[in-house]
Amino acid sequence: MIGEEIREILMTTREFKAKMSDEVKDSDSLLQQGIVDSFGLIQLVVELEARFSITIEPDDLQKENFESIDSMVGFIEAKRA
Amino acid sequence: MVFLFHSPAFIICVSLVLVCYWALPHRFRNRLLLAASYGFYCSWDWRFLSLILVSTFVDYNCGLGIHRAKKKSTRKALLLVSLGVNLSLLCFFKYFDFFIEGMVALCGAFGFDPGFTTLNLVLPLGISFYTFQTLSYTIDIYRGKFEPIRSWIDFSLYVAYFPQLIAGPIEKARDLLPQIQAVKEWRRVQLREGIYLFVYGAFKKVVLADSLGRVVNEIFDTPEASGAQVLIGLWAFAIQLYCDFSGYSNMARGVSHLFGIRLSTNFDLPFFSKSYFEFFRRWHITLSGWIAEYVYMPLYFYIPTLSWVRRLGGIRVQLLLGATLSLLATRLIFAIWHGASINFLLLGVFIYVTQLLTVGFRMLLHRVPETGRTPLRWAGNTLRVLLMFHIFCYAMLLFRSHDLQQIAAFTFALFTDLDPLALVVARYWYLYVIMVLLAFYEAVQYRRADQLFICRAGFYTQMVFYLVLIFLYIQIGAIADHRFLYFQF
Repeated sequence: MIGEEIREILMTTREFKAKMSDEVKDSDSLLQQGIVDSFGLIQLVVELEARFSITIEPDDLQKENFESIDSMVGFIEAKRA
Repeated sequence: MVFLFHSPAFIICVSLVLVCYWALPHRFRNRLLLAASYGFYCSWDWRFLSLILVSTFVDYNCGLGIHRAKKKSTRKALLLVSLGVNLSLLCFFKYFDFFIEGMVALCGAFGFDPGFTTLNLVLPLGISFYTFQTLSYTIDIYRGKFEPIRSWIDFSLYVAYFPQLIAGPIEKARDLLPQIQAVKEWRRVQLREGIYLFVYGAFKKVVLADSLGRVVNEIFDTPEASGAQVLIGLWAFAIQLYCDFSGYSNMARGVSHLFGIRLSTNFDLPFFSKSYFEFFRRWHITLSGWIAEYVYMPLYFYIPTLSWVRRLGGIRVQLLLGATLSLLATRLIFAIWHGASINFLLLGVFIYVTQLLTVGFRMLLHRVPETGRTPLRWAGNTLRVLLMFHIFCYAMLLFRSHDLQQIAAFTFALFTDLDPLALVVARYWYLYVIMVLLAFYEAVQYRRADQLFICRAGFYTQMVFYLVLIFLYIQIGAIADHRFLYFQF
């Protein structure tokens, strides 16, 4: 469910949608494939905060938390717990 | 004597090594490749083989030590030994003279002579490439991403593997070492792809890059070049550099393919990039990837955690600062990696500033309502590709110019004295032929998302392709100086 919502953000937000496709797997590295770059991550963080009602702190900013859809799901679940 | 990849001597030697390699049992193959690698390096420049041996010894033992150490402080100390030794050697040979010249100039400006003299050091061949390569080994072990290997021969071969020793691709240990250690079997597809990569790479180097070199040299040696001449010179140099380096990379990959080892793609049709971020994922991919993984991303995520950055604002501001500062560090490293000179420093600053401007423009553009019309989107993408290409061409002025005066004069000519009709110059016909042919062939590769599609085509298509290469070789011809531009780094 969370994964689908993240995928929807990536498929509909202008910053990412040109580079995002259905072929991108949940485990694929979004950073490595260039779907999310460092400036795009700023937009993604804002979208995640708004969509999932979470607050992302500087200490949460670790590559492992934003690497792929799977890792973001794990991160958001942990934040909500 | 320098064994260039496309010289008959190199081709004969590699063929002999290749026959012996596949004839030998697996356990002897890496020894043979290692001996061949050291032999080739000595034929290129025997004086600095000792530096390769030092790097190999230090990183092999540091890798084992980091893995065995229980305490974090010991692991960190061993990583610092590896970083210290490798970067000290690189900095000493590459930047010492530049630093001394800078100090003397700075002191001279204040009327003081420090009495320092330069050592006129010769840059050891390939040092910028193998240093980064071996560092990836110890850093990955430190991060727990890779386990050290216990074969001295295999590790030595990883550092000195001759197809990519002197000009890359810069291979990370986790990509290359498992291939070096694997038992390999001969496959016909390796031969087909290896030969294609080698022949097409040689064609790009000998026919395209070297013939464009004539145009470039002529224009950059013209004291008062017109705007049109400068633009032609920049187009020619951008394509020359691309064909030279990507041609070399293709040849390296082709040779390695024949030994059953796949090297990373170093160039992925960079002139189809629509943005800087895309460009750096397509141009000199292994260096850009190395810097992104080991410098950019760690800095990007580290900067927002600094207390003074936290005080500046919310997460958005912190990330923005992380992105801009780490980008600055990355672009400067990328530029200075190429060499110690004011030109390269300026190149780094130029890339950084223009990249920030394009990111800002992109953010603004995202506020404009979208158009769903395909022709408009297509036109927009084409414009972005052309803009990116011309930003790159201008950056090449900083790369190629003799001095700051030439940069200023050429820039002035470009923006004040550009007559579009003067771009049609009959004597540079081969530049336009090369641009059209390259654009057409790469457009097909781009649309198919497959650089090796020719290898999968039928027999007659492949024959036609190779015959066209031979025809162009005869028509456009080769010239005397075949040295690779990237050997100087």
